[in-house]
Amino acid sequence: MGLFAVIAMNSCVSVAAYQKAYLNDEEMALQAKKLEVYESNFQAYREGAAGANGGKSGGGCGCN
Amino acid sequence: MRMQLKTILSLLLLLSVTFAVNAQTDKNSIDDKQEDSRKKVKLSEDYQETEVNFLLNYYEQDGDHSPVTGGQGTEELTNVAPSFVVHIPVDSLSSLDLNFGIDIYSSASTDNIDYFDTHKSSASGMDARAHINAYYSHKLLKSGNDYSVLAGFSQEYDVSSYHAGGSYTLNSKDQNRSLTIDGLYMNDSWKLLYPTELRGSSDANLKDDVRTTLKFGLSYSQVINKRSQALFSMEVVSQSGLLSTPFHRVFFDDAFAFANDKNELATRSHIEQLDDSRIKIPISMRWNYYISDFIRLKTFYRYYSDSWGISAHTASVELPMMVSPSFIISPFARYHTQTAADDFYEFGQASSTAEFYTSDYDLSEFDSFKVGVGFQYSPVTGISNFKSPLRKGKTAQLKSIGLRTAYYDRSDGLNAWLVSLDFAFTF
Repeated sequence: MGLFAVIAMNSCVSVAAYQKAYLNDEEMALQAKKLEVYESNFQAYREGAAGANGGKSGGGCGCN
Repeated sequence: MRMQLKTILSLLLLLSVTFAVNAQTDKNSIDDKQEDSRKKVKLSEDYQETEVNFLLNYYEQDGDHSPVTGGQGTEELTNVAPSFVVHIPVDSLSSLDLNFGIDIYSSASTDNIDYFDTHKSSASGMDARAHINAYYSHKLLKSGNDYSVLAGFSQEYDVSSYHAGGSYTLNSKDQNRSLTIDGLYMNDSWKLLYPTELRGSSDANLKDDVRTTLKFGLSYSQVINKRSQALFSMEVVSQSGLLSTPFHRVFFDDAFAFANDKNELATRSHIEQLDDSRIKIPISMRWNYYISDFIRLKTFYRYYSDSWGISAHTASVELPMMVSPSFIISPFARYHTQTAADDFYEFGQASSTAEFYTSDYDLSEFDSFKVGVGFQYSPVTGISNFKSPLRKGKTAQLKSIGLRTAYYDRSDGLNAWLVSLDFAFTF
């Protein structure tokens, strides 16, 4: 991942606002969609390793 | 652990320095300025339009390793979760998001808290959890940076929780990079509900009934080229207090020979004991690529490590396909693998000399695989228009409908299925 980060950083080009038609596409958003919250929620319960893309946002033990 | 933390912090420091250097050399082009003014006008036109999403989720799972019965027994559970997300533009620079909903679940294993008294064979343990969250964000006109604050509360029968936090985002002038720092405090207060056979015994004496969680996050997003952008993030999560669950049972090695003998087991059960502090460090990366007008590629990878001995890798990929200008199909897949926590023991494996022990298979070693598909229907003119109940003389619109379904399979035998619906309205 570190290697990818360095390569990505070095290959970046300056993109002007008028050139961002593709990047502004709804499907290109870097955040999870609203509907995905349910999946990240149950995964946070069912997998001991949770974080970075969601997780328990308060109560609810999900004990079972 | 210390080495990993050092490597992670060095990487993020490198990203931050790169951001700062690049941000100083940014110059606004004429096009950027034109886009900015277009954006401002658009915001001032749209700021009165409130968006409401009605979300509905159905989830079911089954497995045979319930921690409530010591790592063996049904994990059957169903959950129905309706919720509303309301986005209210306060002015052209600020917005308020409110999210409220309820989880209604029926769980066979929580029904087994009284396993040795009145065992029931079907999922009849019913409970509900209500939650409300508020999120306020504001764009600073002068610097172009953003900040946000959030708070929330949730309540169920044995746990009440609240959380509060905030974030600050530095945006580069050309909007090609941003650096966000965020923090969150969570507090969960538990009503200590022990297994019936242990109530009143000296074993049923957990010293804490409150769990606190403190999270700090740092994320950096970067436009790579006209078709590609990435996000790198890291969190440090510190938890303390009651990190075990009061009604999770553990059976020591003296119970192994009596796996099916309820009378013997009833005299040999213990309450799960876990360390009262835990540090979690997940680092992740998202990379999205616009392959063509028909298809996009969305990827995610996360590495996770914590002080309980769990390390994990998670990767996912999604391919949104524009079947028509108003209809998108998005197949996706996700793979997760993790090692077990140091204090995890299968049924009848823990030693009585161990300080901490759990038979919660969520903390065991396993691989999991999720596969699913999403659909979104969002015509340019909306799906239907009707009289706004909020604003006189105005039209409200059902803008889009989304559906997402997934199947989840864990290598220890647990499997789950879920379906979620999203109805998006503007008022």
